Amino acid sequence: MSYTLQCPKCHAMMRTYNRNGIQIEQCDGCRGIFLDYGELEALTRLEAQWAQPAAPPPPAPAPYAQPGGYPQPAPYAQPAPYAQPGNYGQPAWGHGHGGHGGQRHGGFARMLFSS
Amino acid sequence: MAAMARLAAQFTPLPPLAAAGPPGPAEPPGRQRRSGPVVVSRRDDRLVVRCGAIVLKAHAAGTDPDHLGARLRLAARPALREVLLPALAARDAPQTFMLRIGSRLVSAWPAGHALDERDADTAPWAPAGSLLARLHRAPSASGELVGLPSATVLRRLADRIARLRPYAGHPLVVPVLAAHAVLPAIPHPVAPGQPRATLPRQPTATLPGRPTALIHGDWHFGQLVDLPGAGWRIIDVDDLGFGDPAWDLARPAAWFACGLLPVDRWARFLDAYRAGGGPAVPAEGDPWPALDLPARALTIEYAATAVAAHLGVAAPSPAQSPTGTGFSTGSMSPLDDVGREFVAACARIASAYRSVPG
Repeated sequence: MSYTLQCPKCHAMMRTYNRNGIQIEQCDGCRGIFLDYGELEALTRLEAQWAQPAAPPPPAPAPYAQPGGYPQPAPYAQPAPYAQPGNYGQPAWGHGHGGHGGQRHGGFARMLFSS
Repeated sequence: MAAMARLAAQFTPLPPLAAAGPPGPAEPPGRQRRSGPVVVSRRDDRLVVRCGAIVLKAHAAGTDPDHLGARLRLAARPALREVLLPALAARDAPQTFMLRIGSRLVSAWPAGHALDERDADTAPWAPAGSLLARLHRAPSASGELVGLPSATVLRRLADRIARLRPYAGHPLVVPVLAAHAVLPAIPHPVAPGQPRATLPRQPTATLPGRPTALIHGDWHFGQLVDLPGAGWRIIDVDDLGFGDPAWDLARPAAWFACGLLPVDRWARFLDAYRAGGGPAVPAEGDPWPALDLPARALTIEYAATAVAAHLGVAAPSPAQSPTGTGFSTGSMSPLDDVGREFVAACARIASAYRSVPG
């Protein structure tokens, strides 16, 4: 955050904030807000997303999706040597069988090694 | 940094390594070390610096010196030297395993090879399971364990949930808070000889009827190093203590339950843990009655952490945001597939437990 602009209304200094990826300047004196070109539209878009009917989290990525259930892609669906669901299983809230392969996700690789 | 490097000389290196020619292990290609002290990691307010064959760790401000001292003494026990990386003793005080720089407590460790995300496909699932089983079977009645605190688990959960509450209507926040709302409160574990009242506040640790063991508290693959000539060892004793051993299996269990971990790797880990006599799960049959709660809690912590980062409210800041929520919003980062899987799992948790809390 930094001071870059002077408020056109009360002439106090304005402070830059980053709100959800949008830079806004807010006056320390009168709390007025200055938006750059396009930022109002960006905020309106965000607001529309926010106001969407609350609902379930985003669906799983299409390549893995299966109608009527949780994704259970073929590559890891219970390889033969481990086909003992009783010993490994899944909790009631689990994803289904196996998993779709951590190596496809950079995020998963990072998560293996950090808190 | 310079103070850390000077401090390295005040610890006694591990004898076999000190005698083994060039200081420290050779690095694999592409990971050569620079000479002089090198920052290994800097996270929150912990700093880890490598000085030749010794790694120094400056523990977080506010770390309880009695608790850390007990944890370090434990890590130096000969009985655990094949499980935990041994803490190095100060040169002039063989029973002292930490020194101070200013207000910071600093411990010293032999340098080994740590793993990182480039090792994702070759992570040592079976050795990890074996090591955790050995840790959990460590005898816990010994006098050396006096003063050892309960383990810390779910270090981030309460903080991240608090950061999300101002955004309770957000579609990504709704399932996370709903899953958190059906997570039961669990009593503290009680260490041998410790009255319950002296235990630190801990939201979630042990359910009645579950075993209590010496546990790591924050286990993942970043908590393993390969010590040259010795093999895999568990590092980072900051959360070590008494607790339900299922907490050390909670992250892999959460990864598997959320569909991120293929069953063959999960099976290698769990088989090795069971073969080593690990007490967290029954030797055969369904492990989920034991793992369900820790895996759920970690899933919620992962989801809350990812969504807080996505909304730009993850980093604490002294500045007040314009909306006065108490959290300064940083820049929004995209929620990756892994974060989405955790949020989706939270929705399943909320719906699976809504009618049967607990």
